[in-house]
Amino acid sequence: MGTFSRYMLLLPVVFAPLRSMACPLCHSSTADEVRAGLVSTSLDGITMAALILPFTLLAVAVYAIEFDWRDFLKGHRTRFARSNEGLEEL
Amino acid sequence: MIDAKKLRPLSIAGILIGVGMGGFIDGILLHQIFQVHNMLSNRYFPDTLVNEQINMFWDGLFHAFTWIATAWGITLLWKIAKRGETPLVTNFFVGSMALGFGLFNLIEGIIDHHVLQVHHVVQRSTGATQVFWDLAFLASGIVLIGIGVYLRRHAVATSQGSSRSTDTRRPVHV
Repeated sequence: MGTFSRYMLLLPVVFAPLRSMACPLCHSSTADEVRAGLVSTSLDGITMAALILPFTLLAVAVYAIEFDWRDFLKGHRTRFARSNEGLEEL
Repeated sequence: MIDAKKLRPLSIAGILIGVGMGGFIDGILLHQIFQVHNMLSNRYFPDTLVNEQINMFWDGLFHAFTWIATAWGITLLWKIAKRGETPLVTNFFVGSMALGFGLFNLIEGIIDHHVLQVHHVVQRSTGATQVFWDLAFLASGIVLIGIGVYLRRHAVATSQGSSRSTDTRRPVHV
């Protein structure tokens, strides 16, 4: 058995406590049920949008800042078009 | 004057690191140390253990996204340093980070505080005070964007003839 396989055998041992964690304060297993319901309770379109939309718009902003607007408005080929040079010859 | 196109990789790396660092300042300072708001504190006010756990879960997802932005920026910066083709202009890089930080505050503020209203900057305040801090957050974003744009332009303009600031480092292969 290789080293990698031996480490893989350790994974269930490492993650076992994460599957069943009682409340650290009262040691009640109810905490498991509560924790399991946390995502389904709070997961909806608004919460997902609150997380993903800002980062998506930031990516769009970075793209817009670094885009060759001057060349594009002048009708020149952008760096994206230039990157395709030579493809038509293939 | 340096050709601005040559600075594109440094710009993108700086903005991404700025976005990530801005997110971490929000998450660490406002969510955890001062505890003035959490990710969903306007929907699940953290006054019960369950609501606290819900907010902690979503704070974790938020931190995961900021971690990805930071790691992406560091990866680009590492590639720039190894290739040695991009001028390493310090003020331009700092300005790009300020620009990323400001963009984060502005966009996150508009969407999460005003449009979706999943949280406010100071959640426990009410009425005009809550609106004041939300607007102050947006204002901080605009100020940071202004500082970033100024530093970037100033760095490009003053780098003319300065061999030290525009020195392209030779890649060191170890």
